[in-house]
Amino acid sequence: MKKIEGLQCILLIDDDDATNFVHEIIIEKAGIDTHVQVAKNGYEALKFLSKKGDYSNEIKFPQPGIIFLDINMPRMNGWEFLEAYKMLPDEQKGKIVIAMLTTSLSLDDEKRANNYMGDDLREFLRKPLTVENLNDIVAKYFEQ
Amino acid sequence: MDNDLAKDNLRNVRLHKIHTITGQLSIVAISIVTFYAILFYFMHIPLLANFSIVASVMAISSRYAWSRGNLNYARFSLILIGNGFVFVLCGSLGRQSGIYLLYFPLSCAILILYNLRQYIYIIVSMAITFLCLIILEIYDYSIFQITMPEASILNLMRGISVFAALIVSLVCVFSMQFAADKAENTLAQAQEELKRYAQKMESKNKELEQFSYIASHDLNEPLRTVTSLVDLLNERYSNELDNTAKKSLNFITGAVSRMSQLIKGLLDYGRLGQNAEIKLVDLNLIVHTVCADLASSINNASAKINVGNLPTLNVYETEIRVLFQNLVSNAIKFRNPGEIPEINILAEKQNGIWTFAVKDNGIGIDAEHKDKIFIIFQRLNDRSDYEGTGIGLAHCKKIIDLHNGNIWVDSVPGEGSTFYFTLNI
Repeated sequence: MKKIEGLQCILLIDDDDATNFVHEIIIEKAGIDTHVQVAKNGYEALKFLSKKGDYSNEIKFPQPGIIFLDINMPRMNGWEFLEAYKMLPDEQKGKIVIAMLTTSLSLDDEKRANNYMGDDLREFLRKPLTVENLNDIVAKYFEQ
Repeated sequence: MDNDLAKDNLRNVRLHKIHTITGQLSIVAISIVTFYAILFYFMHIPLLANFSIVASVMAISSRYAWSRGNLNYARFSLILIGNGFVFVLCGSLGRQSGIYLLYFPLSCAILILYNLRQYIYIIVSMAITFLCLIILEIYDYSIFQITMPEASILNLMRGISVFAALIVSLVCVFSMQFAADKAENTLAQAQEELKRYAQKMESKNKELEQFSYIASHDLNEPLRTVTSLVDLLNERYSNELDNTAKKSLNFITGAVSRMSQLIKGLLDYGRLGQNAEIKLVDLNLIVHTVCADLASSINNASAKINVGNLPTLNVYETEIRVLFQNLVSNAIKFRNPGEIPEINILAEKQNGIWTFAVKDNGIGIDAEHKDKIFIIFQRLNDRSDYEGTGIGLAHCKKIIDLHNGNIWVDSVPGEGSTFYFTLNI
């Protein structure tokens, strides 16, 4: 297990328990020592990022370095989350790398994601997340 | 819908016809009045010359209005020019000038210029024309006193009037013929288009049926295989599996059963309205059956359901039952925890259309999600809180579309929702 500078936490935003379960295993397999936080939808995730409600304990809930974001979720979907994320104050955004992670085969989604690409959204990946994907992202955005 | 298309086409064709005639008549009017203006100027009859110039300007403005698409103005000013012009000519030159002949093409033009549905315009225009003729008769065609031109010039003018009457009548007849031909062509084209559209729809429908077949058989088969293999693993190797493996198997079972629910939902959605027939149905009976079908969940939630007096209407029976079933079961499913669900089903006739309301005291829906809920597979709540595929309201929407109605929701989060829908069949 390796600790990575700036990656104390990875936030998984997905409503599907099975997917989150698999992703946790992938992160473990990649040998990254980090806290994995699951949010069931964009709204939950925002609460976590702004440390509201159940998430007010700073030490227990460190700021994530990577967010894996699903598109299709109840309450607040991936696109709505991106819109809301833009509005967050900078100290809550930090240096977070957001990667959109979706099952969608639709080219429209990819085009739409391209419009969001920039400071907030960095990557667009298709599910399932693989150890290689994860390692690539870590190598690209974090110093080891 | 096809009927509407054809009707629309006919209307457009008729409008086009009137449009063409108005344009041509304004050119004829411009030529005639301008010609007379020049004639009177050289004959030193200033009254008539001035009047002809005014009429000529009006005719030009009518033509301009026509080119700008202001048909009503163009038509009405044409009628006014015609009446005024002929009236003054007849009233000054007398019956023997033969100018009154121009009234015949004028009445022809009035009838043709106006779509028959605008009978009020026709009556008004005709009334003006007849009034002019009556006044002329009473005064014996000598209202305006001018120095009579020579007999030879009067003869010339009579000739011109007869000629103009002929030309205007011919223009009208030819325009009618031309417009009728064009109408026939456009209609034939529209019919051809409709036929092609119908063929396309038919092939699309066949494709959809094929799709349904694939969905029900081919997609379900691998799922069944997965289920049976997971069962096998659970049965035979239960002791050898660690926690992660067991958890994985549970997730597989869950995902597979969700997948078959989604497939079934999609299939049902595609089948809605297929082979369905409209029948006169007592909706009280439908709601009664639905409540009987949902008896166990109604009892479990100790829900209270009040049904107002519902009408007997022509509807797709099975589909309407699915609609009420979805709305009532949603009202029970999304109840406020710890509160007894109370559901009111009411109907009211407004402007000849029945509006229904299914009102609950459940968790309600945020205003920003009100449109989302009718989208297929769209869920507002987490699957672990409220089970379901998110297809129920999409079914409702499609059923209401089948009945040419509307469905919408009014809600106060935490206090309840009211689903309204109209049936218009």
